Order: sequence, then C-alpha cells, then structure tokens
Amino acid sequence: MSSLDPAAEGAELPEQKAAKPVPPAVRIAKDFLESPLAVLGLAILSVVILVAVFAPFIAPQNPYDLSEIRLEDSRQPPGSQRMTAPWETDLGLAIDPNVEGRTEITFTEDAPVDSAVLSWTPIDGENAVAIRLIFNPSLDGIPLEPLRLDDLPRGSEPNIGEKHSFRSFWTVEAADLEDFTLSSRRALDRPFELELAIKATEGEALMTYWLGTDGQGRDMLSAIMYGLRTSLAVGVVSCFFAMMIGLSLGMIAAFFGGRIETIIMRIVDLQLSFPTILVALMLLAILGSGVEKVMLALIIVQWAYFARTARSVALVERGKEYMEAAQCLALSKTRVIFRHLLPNCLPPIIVVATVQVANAIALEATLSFLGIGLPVTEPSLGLLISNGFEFMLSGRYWISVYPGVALLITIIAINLVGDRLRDVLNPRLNR
Amino acid sequence: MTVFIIRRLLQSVLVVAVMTVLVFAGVYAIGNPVEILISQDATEAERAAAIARLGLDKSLPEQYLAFLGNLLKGDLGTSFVFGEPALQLVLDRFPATMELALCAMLISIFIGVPLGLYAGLRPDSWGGRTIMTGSIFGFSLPNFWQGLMLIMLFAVILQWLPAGGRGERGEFLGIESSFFSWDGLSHLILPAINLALFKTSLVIRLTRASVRETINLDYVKFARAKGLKPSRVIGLHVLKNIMIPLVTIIGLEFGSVIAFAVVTETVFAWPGMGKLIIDSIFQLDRPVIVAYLIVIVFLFITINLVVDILYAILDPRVRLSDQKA
Repeated sequence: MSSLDPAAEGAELPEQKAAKPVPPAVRIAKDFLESPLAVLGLAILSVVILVAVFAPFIAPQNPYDLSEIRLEDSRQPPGSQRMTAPWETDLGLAIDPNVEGRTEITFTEDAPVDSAVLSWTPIDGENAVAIRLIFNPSLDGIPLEPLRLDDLPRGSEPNIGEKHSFRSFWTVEAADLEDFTLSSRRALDRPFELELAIKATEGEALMTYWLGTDGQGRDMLSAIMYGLRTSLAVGVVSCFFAMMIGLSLGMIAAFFGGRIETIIMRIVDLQLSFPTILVALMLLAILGSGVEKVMLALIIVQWAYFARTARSVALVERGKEYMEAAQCLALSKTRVIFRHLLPNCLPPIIVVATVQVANAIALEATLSFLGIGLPVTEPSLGLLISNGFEFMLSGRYWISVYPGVALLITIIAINLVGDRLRDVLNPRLNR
Repeated sequence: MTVFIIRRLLQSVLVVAVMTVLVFAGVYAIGNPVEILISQDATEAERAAAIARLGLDKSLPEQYLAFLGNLLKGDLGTSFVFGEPALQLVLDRFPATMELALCAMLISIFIGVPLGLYAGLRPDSWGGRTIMTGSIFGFSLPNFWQGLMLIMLFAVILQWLPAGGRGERGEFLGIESSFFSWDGLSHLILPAINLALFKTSLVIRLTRASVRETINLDYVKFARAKGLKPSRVIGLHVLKNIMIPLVTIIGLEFGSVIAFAVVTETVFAWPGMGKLIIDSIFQLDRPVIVAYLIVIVFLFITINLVVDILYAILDPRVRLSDQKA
C-alpha cells in the first residue's frame, strides 16, 4: 500500500504549484494577519484562553473554597479591599516608681510596630514619675482608635489625655505618650503596672476585589476566571464531538448518496427547522440538568450544522479528479473518505466550528441563566450572571455585568476570528 | 398543488406523532415525582391514593396510551402544582406570549427593513457600515444579557420603564391586551425590544443582501433609464421584489421568536408560556411540560407548513423541485 502513497500526494501537487514556494499554512496566516480587527480578536481570544486554562494559578482566590470566602465581604463594590482583622494589643507597662528604670517591649510579627522602649524617672519630692514610651517605628502613620490607659494606681493621674466620664481609663494621644508625668495624691512607692490598649481602626489590605464580590462574598474576578474556564470547556468539548458526528454523517451522506443521504439529511432538515434554544430546552426538560446532559444537548443541537456543511462541501469535492484518482487506485472506502475527502473538506468546517463554539458558549450561558444548565457546583458565566440578576435591581450591577462583559468579549473575539477565517479559507474570495 | 399540500400535511402529522413519543418517553423518565409532589410526612395510604390519582402506578406504555387517548380529546392531564388542566394552563398563557412575539416581530420589521434598505443602497457609507456593525452585535450578544442591560439602563438607572411583569391590560372590542393601556404598553416595550433585537439584525442583513442583489438587475436599471424617480424605483420596483424572501423568512422566524420568548419572559418576569415552562421544569410539573412541548411543536409545524405552502404559491420552482424529489 505504501508504494501508492506518492500517487495520493501527487493529487495535491497542482495546488502547491499555484501557491508556488509559500506553504498554504503560511499563506493563510499571512492573509489572516492582514485584518487588524481579526488580529485584535485573536489576541483577545488568546488572552481569554490563557486565563481560562491557568485560572487556578492566576485567580486571586479560589472562589469555591469555602474557607477562603467570608460572608461579611458579600456585595462589596468593585475596588473594595479585603481586610485582615484590625490589629489590637494590650501592653502591660510595669513601673517601679522607686528607682529609675527602662524596659523594652517587643511585638508579635503581625503588628505594625516592631518594639517600644519604656523608661521612667521618679521625680524627687513629689509623688510623681516621669514616663517615656517611645514606639519604634512610631505609631504616626497608623490609623488608631483612641488609646486607652488603664489600671492607674489609686489616686494618681497623668498630665495628658482625658478621663472617661465614669470608667477608670484615660484616653490619650499616641504622641503624648513619649513624655508624660504620672502624679499622685498619695505616696507613690509601690511598683504598679499600667495597661495601654492599642487598637487599629482597620486591618491591612489582603487583596483588592477589583470587580467587587457577589452575594456570598466571593471575589468576582476569580469567579469570572473560573466561570470562563467552565464555559469554554463546555463549549469546546461539545463542539468537538458535534463536529466529529456531523462531519462523519455529512461525508457519509455525500459519499454514499441514495437512501442513507435522504435519511440523514431529512433529520438534519427537521432539526434545523427548530430553533436551537427550543431543541436544547426540550432536551433538558427531558434529561434534567447536569454537566454531561448540557453537553449532550449542545452536541445534539449542533451536529446538524456540521453535517449540512460537510455534506455540501463533500458533494463538491467528490466530483473532483483527485477523488476519481483515489477511487481508481481501488483504495478502501474508509481510506478514501478519511485520507482524501476529509482533509479537503476541512477549511469550511473549521469556520463553522469557530462560529459554533461561540454559539455553544452563548447557548450554554442562556441555559444556565434559565437555571436548567450547569449545576451550581460548576458555575459558568451564565450562572454567575443569573446569580447577579437579583442584585441588579437594587443597583449592585457588578455581580451581573462583569461576567456578562467577559462572556461578551469571548463571544465577539471568537466571531471576529471566525469571520476572518471564513474570508481567508474561502477560495472564491481569494483574488 | 394539492398533492404538494397533502404530502406536506402527512409529513407534519408524522413529525407530531414522533414528537409526542419522544416528549412523553423523555419527560416521564425525569425522576420520581412521588417524592416531589407528595409531602414527606404523608401516611402510606395517602401516598397510595395520590399515586393512583395521578396514574403513576401504571407501566410506561400504559401511561403513554392513556396520554395519547387523552391528547386526542384535548386533555393533557392535570398540573401537579396548580391542580388545573395542563393544556388550559398553557393556553391561558398563550395570549401573553403571542402579544410579546407579535410586538417584537413588528418592531424588527419596521426598524430592520428601513435600516437594511439604507445599508444596502449605501453599503460603503458611514451609516451603512455602522448599521452592519450594529447588526453583528445584535447577533453575537446573548439575548438574556441584552435584556439585563435594557433593564439596567431603562429601569434601574433612568427609571423610565418598569423592570418586569405585565401590568394592566386594557380592553378594546372585547379583546383584552396590553396594547390598550398605557401601563400595559410601558411593561411591553422593554421585553418586546429585547426579543426583537436579534430578529432586527437578521432582517437588516437579509434586506441588505437582497437589495444589493436586486439593485444591479436589469429591470432596476431599466426603470432608472426610463427616468423614474429614485424613490419610485426603490419603493416599488426594488422593495416589492425583496419582499418575497423577506416575508418567507419572517414567517419562519415567527416560530423562533416564540421559542426565544422563553428567555425574554424569564428575564422580564412576563407571565407567558415560556415562564410557565421554566417554572414547571423546576417543579417537575410534568403534565405542564408535556402540554407546553406539544403546543409548541404543533405551533411550529403549523407555521412551517403554512410558510411552505405560501412559498410554493409565491414561487412555483419550489413545488416542481419537491415533486421530483
């Protein structure tokens, strides 16, 4: 059989001659790049695919890991930040007023300051101590609740801050702590420990919710990345199977003709006379929802488009000389169909495939939006949009709009690429 | 002609028959309705009574035969949820859907044809290009998302129109419809535009293609050469001829408008058939699902049949080629 291969390749010679030294792939690529809009589409599409493929690595959050999601962050507008719990600490300032002293306090690692130095000097003749508390680095830039100084020895009061109207603590300024005096009406001769409560008003920003959060406190950006992954996967996989089925049946119809062709094409006609959404709706009403059922519905809805195109192209190709040549060589039917007919039918099929992927994604999104598509555990863009719908009327637009924009960008990018491919691969338009 | 019609009719009947089997077999295998429809703490006797009442204890073929017999009598069972006849329930919602579909169809024709005509006559002008780009958007944006954006723009931000529901209906000549009251109309506008967007794009493209094709034909050149006013050439000679394919496509697309109404009705909470079927799917209300599917299949096949026959009347070539096949 291998001795016949050169003859089969020979069938492709005339085309190569016409294109001269440039291989077809290069020529097609060149043609494709001539349209700036298509290049833009391709660029966007590449980014979308990369984002979808690497979503688990680049998403700021795993939106379906419940431990990462905080309910109190729900419905945050875009650009809001996820905060850690505010820093707070109670410092014990142990002071012995009889002698001059100095202690160093170190803080835990998550605190915004490293250490503090406490020093004190008894003031002779008066019942008073001069105290210095210096933070390193200083507390200046950190937004703090008012500092509270508590546990003062009986009868003593500091010369800074203000006492609470009925409770025992004093509210003081951080800067004043660097040098103040504690004086007492009684003898100040026993060691005591002051308590200083420091509390930051807000925590540190852990991450920014660039696109806001949804009703469960999920980061929308991450959810969109994961949703894109699901949407693309479902669209591409179902389209691939639909293509396999449609291509085979279409070529069989064209190659064998007769009764087989009539039966196949009647089914195709029947199916194409119903809108896709209706067929999918009927199937899902019957099958119930679930990933594999949605894919099955998408395949059933789409195969007819491939079959129709494949048949019409194959009918044209069947009459060409290289097919006659292949048949004259008494090659097996499978070989003729798959090695000779199929490659020559591919260009228009590729165009249909790109457009159908976009359609599949849109249809799947629609079904998920209606609530009969993918389950909640594997949310696609459609489901995200649907989840955000209830919040939209109260003005929280981002939960619904941004997944929609992602869906839109994907579909338009695919269509731009598909449009250009159609022009490039269509030999009739080729000058 | 009679042969043609009879053949088409027989085909249609066959399709309806096949569809009923598929629909029934599929829907009645969805899950166990006993667990969904009968409350958990019902006694064994209550359950048995309910199963017998709903006819769920019989075998599938028996259920199908009963179903088929009832279908011929126009009885598609009683809704599990509403307790009303399913067919009645679907048909009650039918006017709301038709209203929406009709309105959408009118919008798409009255906007689509002039725009398409303009784009076809001046394909390279700025306006023509804009119209074509716009129609690409109409095609590629998912229907439900367009609806959401309409709601956001007109109901949430501008607050001009209500976001959903059907509103009050007016009465005129004994017909109750949203067309006859301001409140009804204001509720109708957004869903109708939403439903019309896709079809408008289609009509624009179709009109443009037909105009481009027709404008170069000899009879148009001749009409021009006769010195007729451009408005007469376009309005009479061109428009009349592009109407044949347009009317056919619009007729065929009417069915798909009704199908797409499912999405629009869900988005705008429009109480039509589409919203009913989605609700019924959630509640596994099988008689309603079956009734809807049967009604919609019947509607579709009728529309296709009528359009086929109309087309055959308009264009004899179709008839001839069909007889040969």
